Parts: sequence; structure tokens; C-alpha cells
Amino acid sequence: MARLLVLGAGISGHTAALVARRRLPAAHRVAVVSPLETYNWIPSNIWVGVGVMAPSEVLVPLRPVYEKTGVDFVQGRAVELRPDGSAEDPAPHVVVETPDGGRRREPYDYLINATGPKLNFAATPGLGPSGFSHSVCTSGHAADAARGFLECVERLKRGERQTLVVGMGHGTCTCEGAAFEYVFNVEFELRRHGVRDKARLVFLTNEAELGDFGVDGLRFRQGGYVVHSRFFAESLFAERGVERIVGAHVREVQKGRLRYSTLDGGEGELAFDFAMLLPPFTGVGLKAAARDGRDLTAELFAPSGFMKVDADYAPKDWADWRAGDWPRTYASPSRPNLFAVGIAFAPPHAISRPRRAPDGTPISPAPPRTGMPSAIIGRAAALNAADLMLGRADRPRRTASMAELGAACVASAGAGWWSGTAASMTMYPIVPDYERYPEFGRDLDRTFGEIGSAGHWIKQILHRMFLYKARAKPGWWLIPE
Amino acid sequence: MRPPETPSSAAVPTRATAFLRTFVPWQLFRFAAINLKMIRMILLSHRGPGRDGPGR
Repeated sequence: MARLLVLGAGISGHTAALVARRRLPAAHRVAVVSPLETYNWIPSNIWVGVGVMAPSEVLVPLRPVYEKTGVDFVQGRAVELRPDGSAEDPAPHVVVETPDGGRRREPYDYLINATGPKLNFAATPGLGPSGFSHSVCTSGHAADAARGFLECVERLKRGERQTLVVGMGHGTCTCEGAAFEYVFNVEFELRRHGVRDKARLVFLTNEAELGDFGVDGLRFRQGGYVVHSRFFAESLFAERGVERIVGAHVREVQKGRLRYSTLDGGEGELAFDFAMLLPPFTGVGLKAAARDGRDLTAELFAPSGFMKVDADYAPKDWADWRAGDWPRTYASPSRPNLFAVGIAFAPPHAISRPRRAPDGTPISPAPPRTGMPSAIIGRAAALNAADLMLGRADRPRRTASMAELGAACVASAGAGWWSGTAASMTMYPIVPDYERYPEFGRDLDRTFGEIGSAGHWIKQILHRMFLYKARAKPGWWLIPE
Repeated sequence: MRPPETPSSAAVPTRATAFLRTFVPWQLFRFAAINLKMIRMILLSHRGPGRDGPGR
């Protein structure tokens, strides 16, 4: 009998736990450690953040799901990894801080680290719900954002002019697509409330140009041309009257005001009445130690706090980046029974071209690893761990490189069955591969984008389908990641 | 007569394009087409080892 321990119950960790449980005979144990008792379908936080969906509609209580499926659940925060055991316990284990402040050891034979990110609001003074801006990273943050937004709408209805800023709270943020979705949902809701004409809406992003989305933009065929996603995004901004500030790094957020610098060396200030600015991510701060107490953190984790896996981490210039730099099995190079998935694995480098302001400030998106790829990676790691536990393989054989995976993305641009729209996109591969696709880095037959109600319907269906799957209802495993 | 000021050089949809974005019969057709594209992408991304590998 062996025990698989999954740290984290987000999209990647929850998928990994359910897939492994289904694959393994009952004699093997699967356990999940999560500080939260609920699973959050994060893509729908966008709708919570504008007040059209309640937080309860994007949350799934974990205990009933795990009781039903035979997964052990431990509520707590993983704080230390002991891959070789410790003086008290020679077996590999994780030290977990429980909600009552206690500590316990959770043993494992195989470990999947799916701890997700730490929301690093501290990177920018004044950023975040404890400062002067909102976020939609958690359902609670999104509910607070909705309250702030609806207060803003009330002021607009009283005839006051308001400025709303949406975007990225630091030059190294990721998830530009989420901010893109949020700004167009805000715009849609302002129109629905009949106050759009009194609102100034500004999108502030660390992307050097709109449509980068942290994946160096996409190219697809449209109207007889191969066009960049910038064309697609700029068109939507122009059509909806949303101002934009690109290539920006927010230096400080104050009450009703933010300061930023830009890639061209410019400095600016922006007064606002409502701001939703996403934070940059770091690892959750998990430490690692050898049996004798020697610190192994630098061996197992990158300086960013994300876990090193089978990627090529050698520093390289942008021109030397290769698709082969990206991890394939997500196994730790130094401990073959450790995997890291979703946001928890350390990417070898960005996907978007790195850029710096004249003063050296990095202003370019970090690579996104959320949603569909995150779930597929979680599934691959779970199956690899299961194969090893069952003796079906002597090394991880299932691969899910982001340079070989495609992604289907639906970015909501307004909720409403008949009037709402969404930008539907697919890209293949996620990480451009200029050796296989020398011209544009991606397969033009598999990369496309368009806007319409159909995308909104798909987004609504995905919301229901993935919550059904997260609840492990009958046939959940038939729904692909 | 002065031309109206344009805020940017961005392409904006024609009236017909904007109309089609929420025109239900057309969107039902696009719904089917986009779903097919996405299913193809999902199947491609779920190919495991032992086959010809993803994307090849």
C-alpha cells in the first residue's frame, strides 16, 4: 500500500486527486491537504466580481466530495517538505499547520505539489483588498470587488462621474486574460445599468501591446490576412470605448490614486474611484529540509518559490528560448516521487518577450498556467504517480508539456444569454514552437479567435460542466479537463 | 468639412459584424463550429504516451 499526498485543492490539485483516486485500487490511499474547505471555480469569479453571481455559485465544499470518492482530506497549510524524513519520523512527510494552530506530519510515498500561488499584493505598496484596490483572485475578493463596483454604479446613477481602473497591479503579473474579461464585464454592466456615459473606464496592463495575454500574443487568419491578437483586442477596446495604458508597472496605489511607470520610461498618475488590479504571484513559501535539518529549499524550489521540475532552467537569452525548455512530466529532478503542477511548478522562463523600462524595471507578463493546461498537467502528474505506485512504469511516462498542449479559452465580455458576448480562442501550442512552426510559432489551423454570443453560451456551459465535475457527480470523469 | 476625430487606428467592426455577434441563428451556427474546434483541441491535448504524441 502506498499513499499519494496532494497539496492544494485548486483546479490542478483537485483534478489530480480525483483522477488518482479513480485510477488507484482502494488499498492505496490518496489524501489532499488544503487550507480551504472549498474548491473555487476561479474562472467564474469574474461574474462574482461584477455582482451577477453569488460566491456560493462558484464554490464546492470539498469534504462531501472527498468522503464520497474515498479521498482523505486534511484541512491545513503545508509549511515544510521533508522528502527524506526527519529525526522524529524517517518516512517522507509534509509538515502541515492546522487551523487550530497545531502542526502535524502527513506522510507520503508520492507527492503532488499543487499549492498554487501566493497572491503577492505586498510587491506594490497599497495594492490589494487590505490596501486601496480590489482583486478577483478568490471568491471573497471578488465579492468585495462587486460591492465596490456596485457602490460606484450607485454614485454614477446619482449623476457623479467616476473613473474605474482595471488591470495588473505590478509589472510582472500574469493572468492578463482575467483582467481583460473583468474590464469588459464591468463595461457591459455599466451599460446594463444605463450609466456607461458617465464612467471613464481604463485598462492598465503590463503587456507591451494589447492581446499579448502572457503568451506573446496569437496570430490567426481573419479576412484573408494573418492578424495578431492585438488587432482583435484593440478593436474591442475601441468599440467599447475603454482607454488603455500598456507596458505599465504600478509603483504605488494610494486611496483613489495610483502611480505607474511605463516601458518607454514615462511616469504617470491616475485618479480612480474604483480599481481592480491583479497581484503578481510567487510560490507559497513552502520550505524543504533534509533528514538532518539541512535546508533543501534552494535545491527543490526556484528563487520565485515555485518548485523545480523537469524543465531546462539554464539562464538563456530570449532568442535562445526553445519549446524543449518546458517541462514534460512535472517530476522533480532530484526526487522522482515529487511532482509540481498548475501554478506551483517553476516555469523555465516567460512566454512573452521579456522587456525592461530604461531604469531596468521588468515590465512583461509572467507565463499563465491556469485553467485547461493546469488541469491537464494535474491529470498527467496523477496518472504518472499512479503508474509508479502500481509498478506499471519505472519512471514517469505521461507528458503534458505546454509546448505540446493547446488551450481553449473563452473570455467573457458581458454576461447575458442574448446580449452577452465572449471572445473564444484556441491556440496550439500554448508555448510557441518556432522549430515546428517557423513562421508564427503556432499552428494557424488550430489557432483562432472570434467574438459573439456563442462564446458566452460556451462559457456558461463550461461553468456548469466543471462544477459538476468538481462535485464528482456520476460520470464526472467523462468530462475532459 | 473636417472628418470626425478617431481615437485610434484600431479596426472597429462594421455594423453587420457587430449585428452578427448577437444574431441568434448565426450564433447557433458559430456555437456548433466553435465547439468542434474546441473539442478537437481538447482531444489533441489529451493524447497520452503510446500514441504518436501530442500535436504530431
